[in-house]
Amino acid sequence: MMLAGFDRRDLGMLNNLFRMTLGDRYLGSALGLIWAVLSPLMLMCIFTFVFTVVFPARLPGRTGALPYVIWLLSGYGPWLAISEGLSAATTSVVGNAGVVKNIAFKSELLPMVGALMGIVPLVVAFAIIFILQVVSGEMPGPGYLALPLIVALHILFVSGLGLFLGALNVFVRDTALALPNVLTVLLFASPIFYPLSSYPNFIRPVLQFNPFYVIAECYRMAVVDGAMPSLWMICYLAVVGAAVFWAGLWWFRRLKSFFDTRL
Amino acid sequence: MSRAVAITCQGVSKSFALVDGGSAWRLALGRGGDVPHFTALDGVSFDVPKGQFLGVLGRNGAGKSTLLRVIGGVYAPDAGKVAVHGAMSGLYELGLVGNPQLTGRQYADRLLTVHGFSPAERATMISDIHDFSELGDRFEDPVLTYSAGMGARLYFSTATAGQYEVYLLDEVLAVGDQHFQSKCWRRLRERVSGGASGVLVTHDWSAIVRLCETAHVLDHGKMVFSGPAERAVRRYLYGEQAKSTYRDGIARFAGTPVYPRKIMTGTDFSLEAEVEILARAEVGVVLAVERLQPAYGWETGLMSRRTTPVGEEPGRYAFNVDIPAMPLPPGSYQISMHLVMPEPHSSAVKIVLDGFSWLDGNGLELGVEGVDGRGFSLPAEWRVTG
Repeated sequence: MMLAGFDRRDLGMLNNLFRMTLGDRYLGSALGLIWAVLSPLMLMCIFTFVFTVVFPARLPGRTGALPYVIWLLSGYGPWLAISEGLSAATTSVVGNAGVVKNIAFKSELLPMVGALMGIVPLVVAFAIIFILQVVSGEMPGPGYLALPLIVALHILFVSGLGLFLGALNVFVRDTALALPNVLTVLLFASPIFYPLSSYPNFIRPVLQFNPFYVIAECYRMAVVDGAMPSLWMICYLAVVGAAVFWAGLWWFRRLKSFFDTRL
Repeated sequence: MSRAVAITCQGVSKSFALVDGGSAWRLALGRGGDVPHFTALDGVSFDVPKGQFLGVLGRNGAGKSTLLRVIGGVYAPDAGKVAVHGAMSGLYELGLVGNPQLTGRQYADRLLTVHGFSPAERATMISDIHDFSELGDRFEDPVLTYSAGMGARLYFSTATAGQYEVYLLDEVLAVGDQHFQSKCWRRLRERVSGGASGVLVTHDWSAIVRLCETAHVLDHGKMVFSGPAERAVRRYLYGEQAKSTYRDGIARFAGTPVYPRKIMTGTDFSLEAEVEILARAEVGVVLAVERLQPAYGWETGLMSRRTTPVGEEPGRYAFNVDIPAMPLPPGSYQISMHLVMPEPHSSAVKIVLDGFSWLDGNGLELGVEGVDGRGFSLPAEWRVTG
């Protein structure tokens, strides 16, 4: 069966590459895979400290430190997954030049593997949230059941962007250098550390279509409110994700034949 | 009888865009048309029959490695078609695929995983790799601590651990110590006799002669010669124009010698030739029958060391060489024949006046047919004493 030019064999390759990249990322460090848990955990601690102690933010309908932390993590975890996925995808082709030049496979799998790397901080964040919810007596709702669908749409969207950036980075190496700055801007421009209601009324209708916000909000609804994400968001993400993925794939395949010169 | 084909290349071309800082953006934005291109391969076509290794010779930058990667599917050709039948293992460079922090064992495991072997298959193959590479305890050390030769041992062992049907090898046999090289040869020969095929890309001509029956010479992306390995080697070593230097104006062969191109082993062989002597000299003729055989290298089957005088006065002379009951075992041989005259100051040195030789591309081919195992061999007697 073929889907978007990929077959079963490519799926197996995707799996192999994912495990390989996961291993590479944490290999050679003394603590190994513990960093996969430790580094998102530390970032979350920092942001939690800043936004609960230094700049206590007000949150409509939720009082107390723990509910706020859960709320914050439910947005920051997905954000970490997106930024981690995008960074990994952007450097995936250049960073795996040895693999690209020596193994016959579809190199468009690499940015997808990059996007999938975001799953690691995501799982860590949700594990922490789950523990906090149990500790604070908030029972996780049925919204958790929607997670696989949200993850799938999230990966589709990030893969699409990653395909675009990964191919661009082969030619314009500044891409990987510029990305962290862009990501920081995007993070603070998206209603992730603060609710959408913090924005003035007139700009909200526009900002709510920010796909980064929509992804974070879907996770947040599912995990914090225990509710199914709203239908329009899922539909919107599906359409945007599919469009971005298709465009990214087209861009990547168009540039792929020139990779040989640049790697 | 048509033999099964393992690899087919049809009109394969590949060019690379010469990308610099400015054109990178243009390429990315889809205006790649005006970016200068470098043609690495230009209309290369060939077949590799099953059970044969094809040699590709060429100088640095001739497009050898590009060709190998195109066959392996790493590069997509701009034009033409490549078809490979059967499972394939490619060793395109002796560089590391992936993370240098990996230990030898992890590296092997990763590569085999990528090739889709099951955990059980991997376990046996990795113990074979460990064994064959002779890395010993160093197998558990990160690859970045390996020397170049140790790395080569690991990469070769990994690439050839599986029983693939097609092997693509680039310059691999030029590295490693003699001991390991001979192991590599043995393994490749085993694979070939087991029916495997492949392409060996190298500028080490002796490697081609040892392993390949057929070879191609690649120059600036074009196939400039294809044919029997020994002739490809000659073409590669001496180029198109280069011939042996003959002293002109003294004597020359008048036409191609007449002899049977194919004979049965044990039958009488006779070669007739005509010589024209132009200036007074002690002209003699020498003859050698040589055989180039994959897996054995050069074998000189018969060689007449003594110069046979032809004549001294100008004129035409005919002579013939008889070899009664041709004692050579079946195979394909090359006859080299040269006209020589002694150096006036030292009779031990001969001046070559004219000749036929595979080295010059005008060698005289001789096919000896018959039953294997017949023919001349040393009368060695074997005994197992222990």
